[in-house]
Amino acid sequence: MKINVTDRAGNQRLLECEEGDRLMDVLAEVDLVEATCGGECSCATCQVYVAPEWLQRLPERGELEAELLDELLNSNEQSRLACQINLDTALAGLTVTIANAE
Amino acid sequence: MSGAEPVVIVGGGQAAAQLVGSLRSHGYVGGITLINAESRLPYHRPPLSKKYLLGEMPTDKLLIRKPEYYERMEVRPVLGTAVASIQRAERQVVLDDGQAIDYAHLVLATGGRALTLIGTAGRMAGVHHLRSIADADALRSAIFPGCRVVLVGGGYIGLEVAASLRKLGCEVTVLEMQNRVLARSVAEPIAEVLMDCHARNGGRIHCGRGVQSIHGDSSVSSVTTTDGDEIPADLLVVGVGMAPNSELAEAAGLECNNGIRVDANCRTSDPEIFAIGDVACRPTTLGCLRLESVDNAIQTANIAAAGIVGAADPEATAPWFWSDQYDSKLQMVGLAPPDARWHVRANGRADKLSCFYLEGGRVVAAQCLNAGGDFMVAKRLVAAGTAICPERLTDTGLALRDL
Repeated sequence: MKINVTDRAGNQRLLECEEGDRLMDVLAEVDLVEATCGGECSCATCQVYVAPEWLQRLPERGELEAELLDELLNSNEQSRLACQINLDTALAGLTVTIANAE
Repeated sequence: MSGAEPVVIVGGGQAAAQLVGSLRSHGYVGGITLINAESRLPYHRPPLSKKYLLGEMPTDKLLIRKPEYYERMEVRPVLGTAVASIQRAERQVVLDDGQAIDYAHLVLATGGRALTLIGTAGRMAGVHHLRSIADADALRSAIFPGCRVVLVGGGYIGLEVAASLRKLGCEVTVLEMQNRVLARSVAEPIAEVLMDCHARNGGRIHCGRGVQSIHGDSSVSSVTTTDGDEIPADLLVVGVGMAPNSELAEAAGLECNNGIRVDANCRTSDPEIFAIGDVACRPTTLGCLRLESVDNAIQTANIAAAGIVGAADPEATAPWFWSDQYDSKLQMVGLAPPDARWHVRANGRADKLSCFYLEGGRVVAAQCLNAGGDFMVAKRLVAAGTAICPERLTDTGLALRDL
């Protein structure tokens, strides 16, 4: 399946992924996010802005994820941590923009 | 791709993987050869004591990048082969199989190996360490419900593994020589809350005690502690620190002392040879240290890449670290001396607190337990070197972000 990603330079990319992939891994594989902590919800370098039409279709933010996002200077209501988003076929076409890391 | 300025990387961990991406993102077009003694591409180590040990993650998900990444980056991986020597005059490394590989720039990212208890190496079954996937697989295969595990060392390995094994139904006992766990690195108020967390989950921690002797025939059956107690043990997990893999560098005449000595640019005593990651002993605010962390592996790799391509040094950032034990998360930024005075910000829950260390009125280090929001702010405070009154830091009536 494919997802639509706008990188930090503003370039739009169509990325291949599979059911069960974490969004973070798909982005890290092409060096679009640092993903320093490897998905252990500790570094917040994998912040993405999810397109509004997709935001409601994702499960809610986790408590720890929310705590980290709330303190990022560049986060907003569309912010999610990519390490907390598991891709399944219902998310084919998911559209995100990668946030700058602090 | 030109091989005129080849880079050879010895090692295959986090630092090695980061160096590959960092070099190519600088537009480096020279050949890159990655030589790893382990027969694997670089993988994440933090999950080995947690998700992977719990069986919640397949092995292939541990890879930092998939095999195709190294093809796209035009890296030649040489796996399962050790480097036998560095021939500095010829600018070559010689492999175990006799093959010689030329380098213009050599980067040593050889990491470290788990220290063993004297007299136990290979002699008795049931004695485990944790550094590699093989170690984690061996430990996972050895445990059974109700098995009694003694963990030697109350550092990050001992505590994280104890938490995971407890979740898997083992009886766990941690033996720590110091009077508290994480004595080298963590503020006392936080260490105490972590010990409570372990106790609440049924894990035992004995401080001020080490292992005097290990008993068993072909397999471990008990240990005697330094204060004379005999504790039955089906398994031992030894987490007493790591020795840097600096032998290759030493044999080549590079300056070594607690790892491979490097300057602020990660260059060794030979300017064409860099050392990065766990093996590199580098200048820090607390003197020359080896910082054993993912962040350090990444930062040093980026510094070396900049040096190789002749780009400006990356902005220096304060080292940071995290540890997950049960459902507690510890996040730390900056370095504090062992006798640091910590200012404590209590967050309303007994298991949620943040500790700050100041020098010259500025926050130099912070440690946050179950306080991810505080940690994000603390990282900014440390980076900015903001002058702050400790009374305001600990005043929970003030939001940290407003300081």
